[in-house]
Amino acid sequence: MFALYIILLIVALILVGQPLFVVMGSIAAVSYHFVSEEGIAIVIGDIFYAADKEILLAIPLFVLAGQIMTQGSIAQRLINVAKAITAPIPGGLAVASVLSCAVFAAISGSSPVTLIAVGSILYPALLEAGYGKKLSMGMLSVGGTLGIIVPPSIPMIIFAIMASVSVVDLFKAGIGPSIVLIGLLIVYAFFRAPPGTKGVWSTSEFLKSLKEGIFALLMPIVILGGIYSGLFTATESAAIAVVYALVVEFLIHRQLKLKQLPKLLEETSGLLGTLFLILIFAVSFNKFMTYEEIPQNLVTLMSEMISSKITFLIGVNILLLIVGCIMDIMSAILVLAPILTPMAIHYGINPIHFGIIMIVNLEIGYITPPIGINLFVASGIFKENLSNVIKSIVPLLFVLLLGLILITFIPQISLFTI
Amino acid sequence: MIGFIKVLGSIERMIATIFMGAMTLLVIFDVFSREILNQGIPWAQKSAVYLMIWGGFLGAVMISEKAGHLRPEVADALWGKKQWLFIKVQNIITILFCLFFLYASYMYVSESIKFGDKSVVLKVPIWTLQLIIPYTFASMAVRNIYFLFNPAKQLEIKKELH
Repeated sequence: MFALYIILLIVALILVGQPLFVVMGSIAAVSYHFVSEEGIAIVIGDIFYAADKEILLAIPLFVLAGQIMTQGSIAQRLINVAKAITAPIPGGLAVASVLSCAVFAAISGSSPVTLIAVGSILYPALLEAGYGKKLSMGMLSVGGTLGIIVPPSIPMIIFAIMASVSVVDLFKAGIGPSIVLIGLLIVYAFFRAPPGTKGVWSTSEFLKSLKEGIFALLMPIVILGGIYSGLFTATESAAIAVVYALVVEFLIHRQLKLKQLPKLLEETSGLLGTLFLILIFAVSFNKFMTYEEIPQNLVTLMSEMISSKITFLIGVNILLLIVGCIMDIMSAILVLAPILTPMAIHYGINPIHFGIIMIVNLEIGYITPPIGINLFVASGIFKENLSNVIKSIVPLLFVLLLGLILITFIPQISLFTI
Repeated sequence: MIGFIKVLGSIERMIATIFMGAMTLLVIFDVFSREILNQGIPWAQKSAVYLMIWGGFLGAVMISEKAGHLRPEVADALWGKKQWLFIKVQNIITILFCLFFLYASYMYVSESIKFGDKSVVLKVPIWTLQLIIPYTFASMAVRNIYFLFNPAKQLEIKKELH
C-alpha cells in the first residue's frame, strides 16, 4: 500500500512539473516520516553524509578537464589525425567521424558536446565528399553517444556510487564495450559508404596532423594508462586530467587565456549543481530502501517470477531501453541502479558487467525519441527537421542493439580487463 | 527584488568559482605531494570535499536562477495554453519543498551546534560546514518566489532552453 502512495506522489509531482531533486527529496522525506522511526532530520544527515565522499571529487574535476580541453581547436586537430589515418580505406571519412567522436568523447565526457564539436566540422565535409545526408547525420549523431561508454565517464562514476562498486573497475570494463561499439560502427561505415570515397595515404599529411593532435590524443591514454597501471585512483586521475588539460591548452596549444578560467570554474559548479541535489537525495532514499530491505524483497519477488539469468537479462534490457526513451541517463541511473543491481547479483551477473549493460542501454536512449538529447542537438546543428534525423538513425540503432546484445551475453567483453 | 537577486547571484557565483578553484588546487597539490614527495597533505582531500560540497550546493542555487534543474517534462503539454498557471503551481510546490527542507536543515544544524560535533580531520565545528544546506534551500526559495510573481521570465528562459 505504501508503495502505491509513493508511486502516486511521484506521478503527482511530475504532473505539476517538479524538478527531479524535489521528486527524490519528497520521496525520501515521506518514506522516512511514515515508515521509519528516525524522522525527517535523518534525511538532512543522509544528504550531508552522501555529499561527504571523496569519490565525488572526480565528477567536477573530469568536467573541468573536459571544459578546458574543449575550449580551443581540439576537435579539428583530432579530426585531422583521424582523416589522415583513414584516408586509404573505403568510407574513410565516415570511419574518421566515428574515431573522432570516440576520442573527443573520452576527453569531453559529454555526448551532446561531442556531437556539436565534431559534427559541426565533419557534417559539411561528409556531404562534400558525397556521403549523403542520411549516412552523415546518422554516423555523427550515433558517434556522439560514445561519450558515456568510453571512459572516463561521469555516468560510470554515478553508477559506482549508487551500486557501491569500484569506479576504477568500471572504467576498465568500459574499454572492451567501447572497442566493440566503435568496431561495429566502423564496419557499418565501411559497407554503407558510397563508391569513390577511398582516398590516398599521405605520410606527410599524417605526420603533420599527428604533430598538431598528439597532445589531445595522449590525454585519454595518460588517464587510462594511470588507472590501468594502478598508479592513480579515479579522483587522482581526474586531477591529472585537469593538470594535463591546463598544460596543453595554456602552454602548448596556447588557446586558453587565464581570464577564461573563472568562467570555466563557474560552469563546472553549475554542472555539478545540476546533479548534486538529485544525487544526494537519491543516496538518502537508497539508504532508506536498504534499511527497509526493499531491494532484497524485490529480489525475492522477482525470483518467483523470473527463474533464469537469460530471461532476467532480456527483461532488464527491454526495461532499460524503454526507460532510456523517457528519462535522462543520470536520473535513470540514480533511480534504477540501487534497485536493479542487487537483482542482477542474485542472478549471478557481475555488478561491474551489469553497470556496463545499464550504461550501454541508456546510451541508446540518447538517440531514441521522445527525449533523446542527441536527436535535438543533431536537428539544430545539421539544420534538419527531427523526423529526418530520426530516419537517419534507425539503421544505426540496429547496429547499437547488436552491440548491446554482444555486450550483454558475452561478459568477457567487459570483464577481461579486470 | 530583481536587484537583490542579481547581487546575491553574483556573490554566490564568485564564491562557487573560488571554492571550485581551491578544490581543484588542493586535490592537485595533494596528488603531486603524495606521488612525487611521497608525503600527502592529510587535510587536503577532506578540505577539497567540503569545498566541493559548498560549490555543488551553490551550483544548485545557480541552476535554480536559470530554472534549469533536470525535470521530467512529459506532463508539460497537458497544461496546454495555461502555461502561466502551470508555472505558478510548479513554483508554489517547489517553494514549499524548499521551506520545508530549510526548516529541517535548520533543526539539524541547531542539533550539531548543541552537541558541538567537530570534523575528525579538520577539527572545525561541523555546523560551519553544514550551514550551506539551509542557505541553499533559502536561496532557492527566493529564486522560485521571484518566478512565482514573474512567470513571463520563466517562460522566456524555457523558450531559450528549448
